[in-house]
Amino acid sequence: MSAATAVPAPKTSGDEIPWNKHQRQHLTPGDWVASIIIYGLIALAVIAVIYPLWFVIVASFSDPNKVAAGDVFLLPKGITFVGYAKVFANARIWRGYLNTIIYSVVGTAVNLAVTIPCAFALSRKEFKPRRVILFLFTVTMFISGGLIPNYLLYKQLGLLNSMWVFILPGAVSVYNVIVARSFFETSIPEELFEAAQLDGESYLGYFFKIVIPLSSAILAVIGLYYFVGHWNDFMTGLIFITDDDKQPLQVVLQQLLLVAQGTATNVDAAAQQQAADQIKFGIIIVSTLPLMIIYPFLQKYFNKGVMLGAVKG
Amino acid sequence: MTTPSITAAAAPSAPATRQPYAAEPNTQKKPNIIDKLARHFSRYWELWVLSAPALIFVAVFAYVPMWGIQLAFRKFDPDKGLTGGDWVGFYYFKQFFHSPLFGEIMGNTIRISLWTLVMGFIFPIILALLINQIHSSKVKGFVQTVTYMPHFISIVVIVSMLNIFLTPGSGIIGRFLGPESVMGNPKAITSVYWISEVWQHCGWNSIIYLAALAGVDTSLYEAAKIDGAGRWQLIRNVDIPAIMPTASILLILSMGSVLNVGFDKIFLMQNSLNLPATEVISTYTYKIGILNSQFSYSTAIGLFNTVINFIFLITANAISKRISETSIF
Amino acid sequence: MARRSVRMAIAAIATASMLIPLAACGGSGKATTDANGKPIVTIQVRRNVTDNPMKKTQYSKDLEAACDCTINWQEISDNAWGQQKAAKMAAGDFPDIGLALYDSTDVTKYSSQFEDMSKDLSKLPNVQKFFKAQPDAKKFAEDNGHLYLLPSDRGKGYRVSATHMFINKTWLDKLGLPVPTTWGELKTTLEAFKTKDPNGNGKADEVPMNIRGLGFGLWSPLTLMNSTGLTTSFMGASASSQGYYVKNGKVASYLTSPELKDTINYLHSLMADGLIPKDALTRDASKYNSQTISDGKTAISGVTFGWSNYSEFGDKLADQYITLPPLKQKASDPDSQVKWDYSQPAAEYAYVLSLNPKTANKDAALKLINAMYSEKLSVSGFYGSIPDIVTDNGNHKYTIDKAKAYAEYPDTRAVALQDRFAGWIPDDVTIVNDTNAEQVTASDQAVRETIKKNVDPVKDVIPIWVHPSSEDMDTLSNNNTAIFNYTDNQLAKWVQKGGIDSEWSDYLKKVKEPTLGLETNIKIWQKYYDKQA
Repeated sequence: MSAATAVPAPKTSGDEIPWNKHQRQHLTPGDWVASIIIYGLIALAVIAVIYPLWFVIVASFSDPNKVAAGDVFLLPKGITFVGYAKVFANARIWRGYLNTIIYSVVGTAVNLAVTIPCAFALSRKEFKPRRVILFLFTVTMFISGGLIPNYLLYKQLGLLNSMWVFILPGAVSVYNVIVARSFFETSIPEELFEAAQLDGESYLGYFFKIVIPLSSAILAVIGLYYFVGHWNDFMTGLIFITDDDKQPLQVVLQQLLLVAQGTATNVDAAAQQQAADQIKFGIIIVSTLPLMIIYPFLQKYFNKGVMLGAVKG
Repeated sequence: MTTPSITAAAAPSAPATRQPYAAEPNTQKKPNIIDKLARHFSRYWELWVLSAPALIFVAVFAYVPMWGIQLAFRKFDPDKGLTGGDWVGFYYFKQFFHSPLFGEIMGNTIRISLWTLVMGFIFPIILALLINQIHSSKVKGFVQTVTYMPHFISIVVIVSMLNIFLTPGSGIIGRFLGPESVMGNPKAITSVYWISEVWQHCGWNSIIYLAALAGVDTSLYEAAKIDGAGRWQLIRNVDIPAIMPTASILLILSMGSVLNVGFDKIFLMQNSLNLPATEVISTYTYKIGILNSQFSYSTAIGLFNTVINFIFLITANAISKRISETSIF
Repeated sequence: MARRSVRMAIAAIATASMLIPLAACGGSGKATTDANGKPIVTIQVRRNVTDNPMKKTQYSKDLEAACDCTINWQEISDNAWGQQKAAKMAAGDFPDIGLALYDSTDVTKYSSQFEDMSKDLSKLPNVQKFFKAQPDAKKFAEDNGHLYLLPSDRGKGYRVSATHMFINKTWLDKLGLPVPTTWGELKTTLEAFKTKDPNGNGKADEVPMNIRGLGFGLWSPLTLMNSTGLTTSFMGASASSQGYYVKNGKVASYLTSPELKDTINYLHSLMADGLIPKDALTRDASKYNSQTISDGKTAISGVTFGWSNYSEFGDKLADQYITLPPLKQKASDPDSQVKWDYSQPAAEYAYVLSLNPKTANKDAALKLINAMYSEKLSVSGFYGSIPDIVTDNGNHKYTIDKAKAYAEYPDTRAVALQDRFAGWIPDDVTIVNDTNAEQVTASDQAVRETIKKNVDPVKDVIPIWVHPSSEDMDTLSNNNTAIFNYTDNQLAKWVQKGGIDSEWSDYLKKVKEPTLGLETNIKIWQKYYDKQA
């Protein structure tokens, strides 16, 4: 270190001070240019993302005809709450909400309980069968039996029309196992395992006492992946659930939307269409709001978690 | 364990004892394997316990239904069940290869998925590197929170947003694109598809890279800085290597979906004007299988799709293993 | 060591507990009788609204009394059914009684899963009466003497064409224009709609002609082909919806007909002049609706294709519109050349009932079916339970309580099975306050004479009771997928950009290429048409 500092900085003068994230420092012209480019690009990305979202919010409050005609830009026009009134007046929405929350929470808990231990086991290099296991896992990401065999299997297991169909078949996402495994391999230093061994810890002890506390980052990331998957899961309900009161929020909202819009296959499709557009926009807000509220909390948490993971040395 | 009498009968030269691995010249190797297994399990049984639930779930829910794949080689007979139909070999594969739509479908699938794959791979990395450059943690949090948001919007809504924004004349984007709708233009629809994919998932997919970047040892930055590295050099020499392992794994995995174009979105985007550019394997299989109930034919197409994907995956994995020593198995 | 084994035990229990639900739910056949020993009959019905469970209705109780059984209702939404149907059928998942679930295509594929009810007719006297009164219904359902599906008759109020062409009469009157009678006059009228601000709001926001899309289906602008002498039957799984028609006993395809070319040319001329919205073929449905129903005050659309003026334009604007009598292509064409969409049988008998031959309580199920086809229960099934929602005034007259029946929707879908019912509403029944039927019947008046005079239900269209075999069905649908993949785009492109005249002969060559299978399909339809029509 001292030798390095002694060497005169070849290009820039501000380099005597080791760069420190928490300290203001002199910026070189090159850094200024870089900053401008970086912040410019970020600003561009933020606007590109935020505007359509803003539009959705504005549109959900606006006169649907004005929206369809392209008159609405930045502020709502012809403010109305018909869409929201329709969405919230529906008792099934609340039932769907409850279902989705149950499926998502229980589902994510099962997911983590199954995925994380397995990922840890597969991250141990001395565990020779891991190659075969990983291969067998990966194969399933690309080969599946298809709808009909799945349907028959679920029927056999009694999963049809039951909440477990949302939870058990997707209990392991191979993708997430691989992501978590990489985390364990790269972010948990091997010295910790050696130290734990010296302390007489077994794999289980090492996993529960040392690895898990250092893994809040990956728990948060994987947990969020799974949770969002459950939350937006639409096809499962559509294909395997027949009882309406077991349907998750996404299916209920979809049905509401279809009813409001009228389906072209039904000759009696009636004139309940005025609110369709607004319902659509209202639905985006209603169904995604909870996720958007959860995320910032998790984000903080897993930023901290990542720090913890990095502290180890 | 067998009963002593059977052991004795099967191996008369061996004494019927409970130490079967003792001196038994003819079966020298066998006890060794059992011995090895015993040693393996006594050493690693905890790892087996930890991975057992996942193994069971994968076996039940992924491997059991695979017996249905034989449907691709059988003529589906509703009275005899999925596996009872007559064996027809590669009949349905040939039917697909000879279909007048084969060329078009393959072309569309590869074009749309490659664009999406490449762009969907590059943009999250760029975004993560950019976000990592933000010093203020508040701004960082804000940018992250904003860019992940579209990920939560359902596909139905995304497509109707596309329709509204791209309406010629009145749409926010459509008004600049001439009198014909972009949604109906077979040449433009691929771009509409991948741009909207990137728009929706870029922020979300950058999370994993940001996690990797946050884990970078700060002393690395200091060391690089001392060596006279500017901002660009820091990105190139510290940040990019830090996310390389993650990036390669994600790239390998995505190679396994070269022929996969997510069904829902492209199906919702289809209209009679863009159909020559938007009929892909998944939409065709849906039409054949779910709408026309031709399970054998649709299973065969699905299997063909899978085999191609798998070849890509294995190849990518092998290449990556050789070049960067990163591999998924 | 002790702690370790505790952990291990926990892990093992956790693993095992996850598998318990799997084991617990597996196997075990369903009960076929309820606690009181009454047989259980499962009825699965596809409904478009499932807010009010059928189980709770008086209708269901009446049915249970009639069959002395317990009904297990399974209600499934249209949307979910579309996704589940294929899997359920392949898995052999058929309910005892299915309502509005299957069609003749499914029967040809899974014939062993459908009871041939022609053998049970002696136990279904109400159905026998129905067939006697409506021989067409029987013909519609019969398949080589077998009766796998029982049709339902919604009554004379629905004996209508499913597609009507509407025009804004208020606008015509305001501009002092007559109701157009030919394609040329229609175009002139549309131009006036575009330029003369007929809705009077000072904005050029009028959409002279509005269309949903372009295809051989319900409410398609290609219904205009009827002006050229071809007849369409654009509803349900008809041969016409696949693009096949019959003329002088010979099956042919619309796709290669000069009549289609004329129609496309005409539609293109409308779009090129801005009389049809430029994005009509790419936008989603909500935009169309926002232009027809509008804000309920100012009409925006001039001409559209749809079911009834009320369903097209909503309560508030419906009165501005009338049904346009079928147009002539040219004024000089003979009157007899003008046809109109013949979808009466599909519209009247739309959905069917099926019975599972393996049902455990067949007698109870047959009793139940027979009860469904009685007059009273047919009315309760379609319009709402008697006496809760519908009052029986005696003498075959029934009155719907508007406030209760139409609280949520302008028809009875929320409170009854509505069009998904099974039953027969005889012609001597009068329903008071059946607004949907009243509206569509009113809309239908303008086309009735044309259909009566100029359309032959057997010689001009392939009747919907012509059923190809399962094998031929597969061939037909595979070929159609390939054909439409090419032609849909061509037709849409020509409407959007024109060029049909110069490209037509190349197009014909390509469509007729043997690999696409158009000739094969025509031969298949010809074979069954000759045999069955």
